[in-house]
Amino acid sequence: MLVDLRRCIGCHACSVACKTEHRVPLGEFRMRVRWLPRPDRPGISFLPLFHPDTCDFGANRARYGLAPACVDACPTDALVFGDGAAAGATVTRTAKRLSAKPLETSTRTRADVLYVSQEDWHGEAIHSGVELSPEDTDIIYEQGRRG
Amino acid sequence: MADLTRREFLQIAGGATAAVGMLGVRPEDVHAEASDASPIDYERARAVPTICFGCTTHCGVIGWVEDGRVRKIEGNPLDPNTRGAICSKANGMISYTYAPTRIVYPMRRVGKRGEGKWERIEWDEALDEIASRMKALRDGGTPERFVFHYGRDKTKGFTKRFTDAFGTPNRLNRRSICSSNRRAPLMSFYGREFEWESQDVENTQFILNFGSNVMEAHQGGLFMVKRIVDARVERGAKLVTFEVRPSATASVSDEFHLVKPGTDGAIALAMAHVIVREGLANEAFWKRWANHPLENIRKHLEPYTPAFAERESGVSAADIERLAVAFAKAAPRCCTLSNRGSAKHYNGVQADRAIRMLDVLVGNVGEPGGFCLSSPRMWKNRYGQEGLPVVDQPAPAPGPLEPWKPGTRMFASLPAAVQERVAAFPEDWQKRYFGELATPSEYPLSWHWYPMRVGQLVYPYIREGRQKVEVYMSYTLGAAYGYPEATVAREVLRDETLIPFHVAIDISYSEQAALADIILPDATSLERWDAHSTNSYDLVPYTGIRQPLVEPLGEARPVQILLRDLARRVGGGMEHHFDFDRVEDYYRAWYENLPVSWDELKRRGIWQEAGRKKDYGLHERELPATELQGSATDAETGIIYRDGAKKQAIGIRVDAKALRGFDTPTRKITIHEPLFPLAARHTGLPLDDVNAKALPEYQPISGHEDLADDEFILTTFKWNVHTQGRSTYWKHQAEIVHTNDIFLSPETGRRLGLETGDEVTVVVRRPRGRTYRSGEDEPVGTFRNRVRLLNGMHAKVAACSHHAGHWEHGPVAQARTEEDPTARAGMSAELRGGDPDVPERIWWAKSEGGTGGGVAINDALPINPTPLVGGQCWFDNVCTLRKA
Repeated sequence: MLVDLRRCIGCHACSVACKTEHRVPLGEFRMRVRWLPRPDRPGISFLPLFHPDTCDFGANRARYGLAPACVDACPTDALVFGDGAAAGATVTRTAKRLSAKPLETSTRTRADVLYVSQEDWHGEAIHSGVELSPEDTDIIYEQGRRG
Repeated sequence: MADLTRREFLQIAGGATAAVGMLGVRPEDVHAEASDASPIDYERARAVPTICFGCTTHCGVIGWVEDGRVRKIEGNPLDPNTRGAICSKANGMISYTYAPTRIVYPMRRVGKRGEGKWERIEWDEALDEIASRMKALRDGGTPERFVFHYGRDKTKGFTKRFTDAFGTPNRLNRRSICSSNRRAPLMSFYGREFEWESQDVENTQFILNFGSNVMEAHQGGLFMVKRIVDARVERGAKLVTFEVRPSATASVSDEFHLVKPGTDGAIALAMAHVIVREGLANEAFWKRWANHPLENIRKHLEPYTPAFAERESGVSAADIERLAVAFAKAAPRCCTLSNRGSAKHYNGVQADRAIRMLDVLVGNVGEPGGFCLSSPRMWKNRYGQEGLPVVDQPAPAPGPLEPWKPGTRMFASLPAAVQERVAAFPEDWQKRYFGELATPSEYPLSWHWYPMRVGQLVYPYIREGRQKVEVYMSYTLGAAYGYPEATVAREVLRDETLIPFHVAIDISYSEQAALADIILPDATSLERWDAHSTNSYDLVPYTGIRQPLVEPLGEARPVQILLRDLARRVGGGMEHHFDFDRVEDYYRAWYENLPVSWDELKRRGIWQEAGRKKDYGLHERELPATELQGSATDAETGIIYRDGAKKQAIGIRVDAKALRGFDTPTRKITIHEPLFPLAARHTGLPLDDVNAKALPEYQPISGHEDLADDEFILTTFKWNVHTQGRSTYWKHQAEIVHTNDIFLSPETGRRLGLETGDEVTVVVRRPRGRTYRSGEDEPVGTFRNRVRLLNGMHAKVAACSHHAGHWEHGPVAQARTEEDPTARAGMSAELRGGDPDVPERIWWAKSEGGTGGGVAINDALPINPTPLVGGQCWFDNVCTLRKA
């Protein structure tokens, strides 16, 4: 999976498609989009994260030749999915051209997700990663966990 | 119904096939095991194309249906606007179709109005009672006492057919709540066919965005997001945004400049000043197509220096100079973008006119990468639709209603002051005047171009007795929760002397339905038919159909059936306009002129004429000989009229050529608009008011000049997962955003001694300005809410989203995990089939240690229509903040 952060607008089409497709219970996420206030300048940084245990890149859809639900739903082509091992695969060439790298973090996320334009502060800011946490600084989701 | 497997659908949708092929996924490469209990079987499931109703953008989508239930919504790659994209709200349609407070049977109140006690009744019983009350009005010669008020009506004229056939002009809407302040400037500039513009953003190099949150909430926003992202990432286009808070759009912009609310007009005028001063105006274009001399504009712009705009807006003069030059140098591959951020202010109509003038100055209008126009409406051979098949509701449509001219019974029923005003109106307005609810006489520009109306005045006007009401029918309307000073709406809705009978038609129980006498269950967008058209960012008009994926739940019925059956009961001739058995037959007739079969249209969901030329330069196209036949040209202006009567302009002679021009009375772009001073004179608005000016002008908002330390401008906003107040009960949307903290800048927090999580008391003042007030008492309202400090907030702005704090609408919206507090007879709790999420897993409920469902704020926001046009000034509110 390739995530081009230059293209992500934080719209959540991916995570809602994922939850609808897989009937993921409220409170749990196979992937979600973090809305992290930027430490360097005004604005929000949008960061899709994938769960290392529960995200299977839409195995049920792959059976039919369909892209994962999140990729299918993404309105800006920020998510690109393909077989990284296949020689000449688009995803591989794109990843190389854009110097995409796994997220540099100690938090558990899927290791086979490569990011374009990650920020050096992302790794520390994501805390629990895909799961909800009271530590999150996002301006969404965890609003319900404070207070 | 279209019945496709995935493979069949992808065969007709070539784009999707290519996309899947490119990804090259092989099942054996996927190592993880599917953990779904019951994954969708895509070989067995049916794919049905339809039109989304998750917001007002209306994207082409495909629904997957399995065992009679809609499982999943994806994009329809045949939609030329979306090219297969969806947003998070598309799957919200599944949430609302199977919500526990979905109304599935007709209900009648037992006990007092608003008490919340209901009994399930039969359809016949409900319709008979409503029809007998309506028939009495018609028999008594007072059909106008039937008022139909909608919140979202995308039937493209079906409900108007009903009210016209019945004989009432009172088909009211909520356009002033939403977009009238940005529609009016556009229609003034380019004609009534263009209430919405279609910037060619995918080919642009420079976008100047004045307060549009296009990446989250703009009507038509999803049509633009990929085009803008592609233009930026692949082709280096610049997106420059003026905003009051770090919206998603501001966050992904190349430049994000904080502005003081309500000063966008000053910035736009200063940029125009720079463009003219630096000789960067496209004088040839201006001379050819603007209706006012550039020399006059130069003089008019003199006082609007960048230094002036800096003092007003806080954006530096140097930035204004630099951006004005960059914008003009990118021409014609540049465009402005604006929406509520610039428009929903007392001076917002003029602000948008100033912004629109920038495009004309640099001559990007109708150019590739520029500010383009593409017909948004159903096809009736209107401007921009030449050569397209007529796509319209089937005959016989009811005839036009009689205007309330002096001498009519209706006119005599008006208050004396209104009679005096209307009697002095130009004849053109008298012909279009239909009373104070449909055509408020103090807001003539809310209905001059087409009937936008002033929704937030409906309840105060009924309270004042400007219109007597006997039967009030609200259709998918959330006024009792979401209108400004919703307390007034609820007061009127509760008063049985003002509203003797209230019928609410909706898909879900709500604050509005709670104040009804009878509730009728509508089919949801996944269960019904509708015709569809909107403006095309592909710059080739297209049309599409919404079609049912599944049968309506319980006894819900599509509004078309409901109104047909009412019309048949009321009788008296109105039933002839509803002579169809199946709704599908009605829409099949609607689309009979399309050169594709009905079955093919249902298979594709969308139709666009292949090979049609893009809508660039519509104004430069020559009038064909067929249209010139019998025409008459005015020697002085060059305007070509349809015939010698010289009433209907169809083109203009330029350089000896007969060109179509723009769809305005002068066939040029209306920079100088005489309607504003005309309307001001007729309504008694002083001519020095900003809203009365013929040329785009800026004046600061009264009350914003010298804000005290504890005074702030309270602005509302939308999140990308929400659609006004109606999405808060969609479970996946609510999970992402369920509260509405007040965002403040860290600097403001320090000054007020506030930290994130602290509670404040917000007290909202009465606004100033010469427009309608629902009262003089101070304050308008007050509420308590938590604050959240956020870098990038304007230091004098308190931003609070307006969707939260519902007291009806079910457990998700109300953030409760106990047994559904609003489940009553007539709702779908027993029908929707086990959803283990609701209410048990609503983790943000207070009982689960969460913060609940936020705070309702609309009661505290004043009714504040812009003079003449009537758009609600949502972002002008002045409030004080104190730590609670």
